[in-house]
Amino acid sequence: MTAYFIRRFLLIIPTFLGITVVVFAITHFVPGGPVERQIMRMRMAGSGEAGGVAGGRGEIALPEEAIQEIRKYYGFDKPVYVRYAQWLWNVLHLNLGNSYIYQDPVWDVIRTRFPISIFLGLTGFFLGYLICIPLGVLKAIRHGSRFDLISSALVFMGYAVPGWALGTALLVLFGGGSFWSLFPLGGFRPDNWAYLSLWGKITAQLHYMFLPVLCYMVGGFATLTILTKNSLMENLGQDYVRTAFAKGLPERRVIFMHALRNSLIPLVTGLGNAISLVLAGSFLIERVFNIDGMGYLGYTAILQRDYPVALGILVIDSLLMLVGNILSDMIYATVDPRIRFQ
Amino acid sequence: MRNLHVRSLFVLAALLATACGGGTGQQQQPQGSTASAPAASRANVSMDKNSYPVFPDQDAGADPSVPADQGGKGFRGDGWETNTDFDLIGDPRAVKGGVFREYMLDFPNTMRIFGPDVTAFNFQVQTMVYETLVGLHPTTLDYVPALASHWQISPDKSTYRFRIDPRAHFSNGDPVTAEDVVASFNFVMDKGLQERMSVYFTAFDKPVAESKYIVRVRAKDLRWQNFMHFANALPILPSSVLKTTDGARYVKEYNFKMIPGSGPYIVNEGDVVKGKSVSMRRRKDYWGERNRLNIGAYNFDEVREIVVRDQNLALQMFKKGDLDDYPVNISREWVQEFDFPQVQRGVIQKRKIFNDQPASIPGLAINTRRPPYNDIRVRKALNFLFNRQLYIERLFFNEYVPLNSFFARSVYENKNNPKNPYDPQMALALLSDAGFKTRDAQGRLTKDGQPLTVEVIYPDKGEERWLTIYQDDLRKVGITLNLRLVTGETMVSLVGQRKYDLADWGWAVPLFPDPDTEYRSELADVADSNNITGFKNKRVDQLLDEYNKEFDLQKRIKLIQELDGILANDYQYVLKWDAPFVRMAYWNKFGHPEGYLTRTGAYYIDMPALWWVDPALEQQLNRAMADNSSKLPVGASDVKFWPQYDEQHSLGAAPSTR
Repeated sequence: MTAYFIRRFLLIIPTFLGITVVVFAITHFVPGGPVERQIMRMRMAGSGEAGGVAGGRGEIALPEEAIQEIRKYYGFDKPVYVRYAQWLWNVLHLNLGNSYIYQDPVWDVIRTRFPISIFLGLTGFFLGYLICIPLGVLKAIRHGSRFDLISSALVFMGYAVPGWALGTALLVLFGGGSFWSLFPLGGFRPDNWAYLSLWGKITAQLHYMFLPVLCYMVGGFATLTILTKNSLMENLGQDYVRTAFAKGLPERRVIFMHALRNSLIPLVTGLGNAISLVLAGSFLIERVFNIDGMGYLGYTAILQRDYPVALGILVIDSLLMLVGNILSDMIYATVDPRIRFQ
Repeated sequence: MRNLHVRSLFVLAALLATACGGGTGQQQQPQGSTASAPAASRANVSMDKNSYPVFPDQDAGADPSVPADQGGKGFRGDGWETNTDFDLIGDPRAVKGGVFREYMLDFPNTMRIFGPDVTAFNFQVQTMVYETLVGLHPTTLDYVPALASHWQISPDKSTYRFRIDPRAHFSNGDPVTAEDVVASFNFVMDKGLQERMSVYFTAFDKPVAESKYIVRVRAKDLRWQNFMHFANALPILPSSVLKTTDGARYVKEYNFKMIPGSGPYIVNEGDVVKGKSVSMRRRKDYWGERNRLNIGAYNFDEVREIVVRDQNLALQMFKKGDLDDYPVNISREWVQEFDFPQVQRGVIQKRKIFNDQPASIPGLAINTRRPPYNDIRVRKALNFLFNRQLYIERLFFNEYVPLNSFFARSVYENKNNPKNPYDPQMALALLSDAGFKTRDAQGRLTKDGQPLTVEVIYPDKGEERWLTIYQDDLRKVGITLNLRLVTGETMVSLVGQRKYDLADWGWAVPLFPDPDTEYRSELADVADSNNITGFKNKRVDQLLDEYNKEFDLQKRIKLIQELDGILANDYQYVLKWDAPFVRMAYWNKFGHPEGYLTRTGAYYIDMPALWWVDPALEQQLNRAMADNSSKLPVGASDVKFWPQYDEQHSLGAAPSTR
């Protein structure tokens, strides 16, 4: 099996190259890159129903020479393979380049979003497992009962409601602008964060993140819960469970010691990818709650053609994903003795 | 038990996130608390402009080693021009102090005022932090002294001299000198800076510092705009700082810090909280505070721009009192939603403020290089099928008016331009003339067997509200309109390469028409030029040449009116509609000049510069907020101070001195 995992690790290299080549090529060939963004910024009025903001110096035309200058500035005067080679060389030296927009190193730009991602990701991850597994077990045991029905209705409602829409509604209801003032109106932390005591920081953080985390997770309950429930029910119907009951073991022991252990195998396999949660985020929820997180960063990087940042996130994300998949396989092999990779 | 787990994990995650620190963890103490409270109300101040000297303490600070005729101590300005007759811009009753909090939808990409990624936000900061040699009075559009107290224009109109006010200082303590003007000019011309404004300044030879206070510059060609560009468009930066950097380095190193300026506000490095907010702080040592130009202006101790990424959230924050004003850009919101309890009780006021700020020109640009759009009859038909009256009525609650001019709301507008009402019969007749006579099996209009299929590209999904009606109206006469939503960048790229049929486009229009780059024939076939429709017209080329060389304003007005007529009758665009006002809601604690804004100014420049916290109103508001049943007076929504002013005065539309 060691040989198998070594092979898997070696395969990361061509996969990674493949991903980056494809994405790099896309960034090169889509119409409208950083050069056009620059030109647009320089001469268009805002759009929108009432014409947008006029003013500034939008009317000045750009001579061809200036446009060439901008191309050169972004390196777009060189052929795509040269730019890719340069970029890859830098990445191999752990240099993700500088953001086109912020002019700061990409790593610094991404790094500042980690606290938000980790908060969203960790709470989402643990709360998910903590709520969904017991809930799934209960639902499996009481399959067909009123509890099963109502809880199914609830998790599927959560699955169907877009998190950002729920967020908008919750902010209007509980943000204090229109109805009750229970939660702050968006933001990740209060302005006076640096001056709070440790306990003050914890309560403030919970106060600020309660609604965003709720919205971030609301769609995630259904899959895990139903997966647990179905997997457990399938196991409960197996011969070994019948045998366990037949030999007179108590119900609790049969379910939790025998059936549940086997039902968790499909859930455990997802654990390896938990390392990706350092990049967790959701553009829409971050936008609705005015949080400067990873989702918003990635989305605006693509929209504003900040390719170094978009590619930087891609590099980190795809490496984490590739490694995570292997970790999942390892965990799978560990928890399920039947699995042997060749 | 489960609850306990849930809670403790939440705490764990909070702790972890806290421990990770990072940029977002280093926020500052709210800064409103450090701003001074507004002083007592000032009711008994003179409203007479003559009570406020244009140059208080004229000679103060003048270097005694510089002789009077070189602009130094004792300079009297004989043989020089200046303006000491202008009206007050701000309201002398204004009180200094307080904070003004506005929102912006995204954090600015840079705090630079030059180079890549500079937007209207940076322009706003520029007007608060930096100054130009000469100002423009927003009512009369006359030149007024700013950094330069006096100026001279040679008889052949090609050489300008400026005498710098010896009192002027930068925020780092350096006096403003002629060398700073030279350095600022060189800086803007530095290719590494990528500053498009350099287009203006290629018209000049390098300026020369004649003395500490006198600078001279010569224009290479004769254009009436030259003086305005040099005197009013070039922000002056301290040479002592410019010496330490260059264009390319500035672009990289000054992204989130600012070079000191001589203006009334300063942005310190700590005031730029990345991703969250930018604060401009009023300088207590601003050299020009007592100049008539600045009386009643620049009142807030702090102007804070807060990032709110979602408009709905911004509205909630405004209602809660976390923001001081809220521009209402959507008619439906204004008509249907701005009647909530705070508005009814008068604690929030709403105003529709009319002024003479030039209209931006939104429309569908038609690519006339592509057949059949090279046929004016087809372009005209597309105009006659554009049912603006209906969109305005159904979608925009009759808030807007159809736009029929490329210079709307100004003296340059040609009132005889065609009005293009919705007229499908006329459109069909025109299309028939153009050869679209037959129909195919699906009822589509065809010419030589080819159906008429039009594609429109647009960058904003909101436009689909009226685009789908247009699509429907076109289908009724047998034209297929395909809608293609693209990003702004893609749009610029497609339009730049001329790969489009119709493009939803908006031109920002300057205070003084500058149509040179948009309509010249020689640019029609140049990719990425501003002549996006491919417009070629000999008479227009002539008009543009004459316009640039014409120093008589009245003649220039006539030239632009003729140009406007030619453009409108050539149907290069399907013009949309115009909002001749800005709709604004604000908390009822602010004083403002009588017209709310200046005659020609934009709200985002004028409000932070001219409004103030009125202590009496603020007290009244606080009392009303404590007692839910109390009401404050609700003011009339429409503010037509400037339209009425225009009726009573005949005002210039450009600097009249040149």
